[in-house]
Amino acid sequence: MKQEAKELVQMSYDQLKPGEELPVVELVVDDDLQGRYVLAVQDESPWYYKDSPWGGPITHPSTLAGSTILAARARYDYPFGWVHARQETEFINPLPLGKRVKVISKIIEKYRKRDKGYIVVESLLVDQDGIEIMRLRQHGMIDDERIREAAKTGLKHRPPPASERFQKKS
Amino acid sequence: MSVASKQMEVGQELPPLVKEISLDRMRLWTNWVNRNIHTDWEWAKKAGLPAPIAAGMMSHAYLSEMLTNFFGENWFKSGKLSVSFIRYVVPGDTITAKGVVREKRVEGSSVIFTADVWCENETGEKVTVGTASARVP
Repeated sequence: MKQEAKELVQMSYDQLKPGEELPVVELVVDDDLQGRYVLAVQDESPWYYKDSPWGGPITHPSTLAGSTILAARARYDYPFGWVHARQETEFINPLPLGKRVKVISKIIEKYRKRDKGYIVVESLLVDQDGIEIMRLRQHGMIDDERIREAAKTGLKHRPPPASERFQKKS
Repeated sequence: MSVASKQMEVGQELPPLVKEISLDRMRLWTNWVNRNIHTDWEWAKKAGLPAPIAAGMMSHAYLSEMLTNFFGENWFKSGKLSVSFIRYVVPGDTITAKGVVREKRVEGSSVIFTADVWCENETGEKVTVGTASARVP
């Protein structure tokens, strides 16, 4: 996904509206990308590089379960220092390694808890044959005293640019 | 690969999984191209954090691996994992993923097991807590 920084809007708790649909993102996880994740989490299962109960290797769920961030990142710059607070993941079907998947996302809720502002983003991952792979719901804490102080530094929490493997479709 | 069977009972513990957290692994996970709160000490401090913090999804990955080892392919077809990230994980931590079955429910010819799952650091403090369930046909 190629994204110019100037196209991004700074994420603001007060301005976000539940119901907002985020850009649809497509991604393909190849050996190289998967290898990085399995090394990072030290998962040596052969399901991810050799054979699985479904035939060849499958995509490591870690490469997919954070997809809501990709969708939000396609439109917004994050507040510096925001924190991932909660994750709900439903595993529906395995995704063969190298198969394209579409991430369809929406901001479904925002709420305040103990003087902290949270947003909830929901995503459905569907592969190129229309098979549902995963359903995700992510709660991100994007506004509190620490984050407001951090914003004064002028720095932005800039996750790495999504690679060309991630294609913004809408 | 799977340990779970329909004959399991409430109280059964899932085989735990131990992982070492290092800044290198955190940078690998985050695809370190830019400096950010997961990869860089200076940035973490400016964000008001004690150190670079591991992405919460790394703990999620450890729990998912533990549950895959336990439920096998059933995890990929019916698994549900809901967790809250309650404490920062920093370089040098040793994280252990754990779980215990707390509910067993028969549905037709299948059994759905629900487990309390969590990750704790080397001092026994919980860093991630939640529940997981899967169907055993």
